[in-house]
Amino acid sequence: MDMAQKMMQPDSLLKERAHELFRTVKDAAREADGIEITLTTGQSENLRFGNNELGQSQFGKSRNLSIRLTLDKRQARATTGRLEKSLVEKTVEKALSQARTSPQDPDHLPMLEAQRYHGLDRYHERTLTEPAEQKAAHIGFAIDLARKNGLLASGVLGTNVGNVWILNSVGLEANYKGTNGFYSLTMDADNGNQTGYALSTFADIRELDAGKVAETALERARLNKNQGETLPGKYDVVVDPYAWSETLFFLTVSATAGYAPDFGMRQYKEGRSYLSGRLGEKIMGDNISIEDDAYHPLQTGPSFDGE
Amino acid sequence: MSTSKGLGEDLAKLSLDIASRENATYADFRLVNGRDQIVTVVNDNSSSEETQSMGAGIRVLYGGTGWGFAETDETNDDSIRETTLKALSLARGASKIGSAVSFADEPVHVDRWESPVKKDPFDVSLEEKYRALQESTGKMKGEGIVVRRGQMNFSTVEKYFASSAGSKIHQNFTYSGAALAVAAKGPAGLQTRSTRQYMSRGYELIDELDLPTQAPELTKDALALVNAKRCPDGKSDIILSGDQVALQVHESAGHPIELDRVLGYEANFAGRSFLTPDQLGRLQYGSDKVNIVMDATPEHGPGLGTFRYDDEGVKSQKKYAVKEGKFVGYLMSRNTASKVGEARSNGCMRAEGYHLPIIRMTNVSLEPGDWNYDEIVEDTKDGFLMVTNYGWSIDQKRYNFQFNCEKGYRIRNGSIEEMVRGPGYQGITPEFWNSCDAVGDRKSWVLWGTPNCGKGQPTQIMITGHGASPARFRNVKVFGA
Repeated sequence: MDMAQKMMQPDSLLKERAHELFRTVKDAAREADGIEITLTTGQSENLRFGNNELGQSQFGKSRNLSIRLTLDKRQARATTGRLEKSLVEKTVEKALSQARTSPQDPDHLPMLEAQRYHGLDRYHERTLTEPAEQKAAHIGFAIDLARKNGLLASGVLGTNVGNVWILNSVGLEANYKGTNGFYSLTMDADNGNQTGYALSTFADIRELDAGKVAETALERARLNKNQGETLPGKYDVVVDPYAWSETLFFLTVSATAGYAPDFGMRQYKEGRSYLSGRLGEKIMGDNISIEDDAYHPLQTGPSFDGE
Repeated sequence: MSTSKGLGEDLAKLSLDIASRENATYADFRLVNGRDQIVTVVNDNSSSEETQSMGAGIRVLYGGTGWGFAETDETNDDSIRETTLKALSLARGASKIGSAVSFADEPVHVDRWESPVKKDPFDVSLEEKYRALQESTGKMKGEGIVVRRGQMNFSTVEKYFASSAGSKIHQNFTYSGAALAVAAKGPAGLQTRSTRQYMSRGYELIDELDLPTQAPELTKDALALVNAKRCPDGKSDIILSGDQVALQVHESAGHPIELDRVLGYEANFAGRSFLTPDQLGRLQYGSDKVNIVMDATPEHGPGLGTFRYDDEGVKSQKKYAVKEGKFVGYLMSRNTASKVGEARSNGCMRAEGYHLPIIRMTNVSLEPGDWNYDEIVEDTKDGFLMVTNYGWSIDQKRYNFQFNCEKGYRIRNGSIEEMVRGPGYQGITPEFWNSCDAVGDRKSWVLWGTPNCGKGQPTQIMITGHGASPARFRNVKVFGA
């Protein structure tokens, strides 16, 4: 068994642990009228490289218990990385103390009752067990290709596995286990005046075509050589998918709203969003549809949010 | 806070003994125990959150050619043993394809240090914190006001560092900070005014900030901005407020002097730097009024970049990045110092929590000049005063930038006149800093805190300090947003 695999807890143990923690929290928080725990565990491995050489390889393991308590329309959250019973009880006491002293929330909503979620299969053992030599080979291919073409390769190949368990006092229980990863690569020259970038994200590392990522970065770097000056003015512009994904981020999240989502209902209602008062209005061309879909086949992560 | 005292020494010994038995060239171990509290009031909604985290980060150099790093938040013997072996395994793998690692010498340090605190923020009741925030946001109400927001942040961090060379360092930190923001909607759309400050201090900082007295002025500004004229486009002299100069230093001086970035190790995410090693000691980065230091020493002040030792055990130092306008120094690590001919790191390796240390800003500060603030204004015939940042954009080499501010004022014949909205300015970094002809004196100098600097893959959030006073820049391209 690989060390990374050995360091992960089996699912049955994690479920048992989540329920045991919930019982501890419930016993310690009898005063609360709503109790929710979120237990998250994760493991990640990242191979970083720069200047055509391997940099710092990193491995990390984490777990975290977040406790949300409500008390007479007051709410508080306390989080701990230490799961010993006495420390969990102390964390509950902190949350209770915060809830007792918090002002009432006029927009308070009760906790969500039991829900049904569609099943998701986003866990792929291979992402966790892929040998380091194989990952290093992906990077080695990119570095060789960059060298042959007089470029410098920099990037990171990262893999993660995560578990989330949410339990609350009105019967909601949700859990997710999934893997994900990314391979992002820059090839550049002339101190960054010539660059090419490529990115691949995946849940199953077998879907990673590392050769294609390297060839894409190289092709973009080739096209990016000897750039000419573009004068300010109006042009037809073809936006690269990577650039568009960044643009989309800034369309949905803005400093105007305090780095909160401009598509968020609170921002909308308070008039902080550039979309406020424009629901139903046509704001983009016929060929633009933006959707929020946790079930998209290329999406990773759970299909439920933090509540 | 559950203390990590004693635990660090025991776990470090366990980890470093394993690394030594397995023939590691070098190893270091950090145990970090942190506690954070955030208290927020947005309009009439209040929330608070407290987080406790403890974990260990273990760094190993194997065969003199390969680095490995592993971290865990399970701080028991078994987990530390496994995590050390994981770091070793990564280092061994890297050593097979790595080349000789340079590692600048550092004396062995056995020491203990605590950041100074007068009033422990965790001893102050939540009621008192809510009272101050609600009083402040209560004073922000008015026709046209759409958002009123107040927040306080507090942290304590216990760190224990031990290395195979024999260093054993305990450091304890306390951080406090607060922010207020108010947004108004009117004929000119949404306009925001805000204030924020974060330092390595206790609740005495919050007392000094006296948020409720700042709230009405911010509100008045926001309401005035929705009726103010747009800042005109053109070229003009500008005076920047101290908090805006601090951000200008962070983005256009602090990031391009990060040596890992310069050497290409951050090229994939953050980019590179126009301050290449061939410019060191040669480039006239700014005018002779511009002196920028990298100074983590406690003598610099209680900034977010203040410490006695960095996260690879190097003692904090004061060094110049820019001296009388000349570019003279980088933020370095033990691993990179020799690449620019330095025998010793200047101690800039920092990690978020117990994650991997990388080169980060410490306190990167513009030293005070000799101008009284009022004299700068009086000496300005025609220009703009621009106050508090409202967003920016800068290229990957930190060369070409534009910044927007929350509010501006026209200056005519040495006096501050009408307010303008959406003031912004553009520039090329060395041209801009060379146009600086007046820097405010010590009286107007403030050590500002930036609590959210992102860098690295995986991204880490770091806290940095930036001392700055108001400064004037001549003939700058300005515009209205």
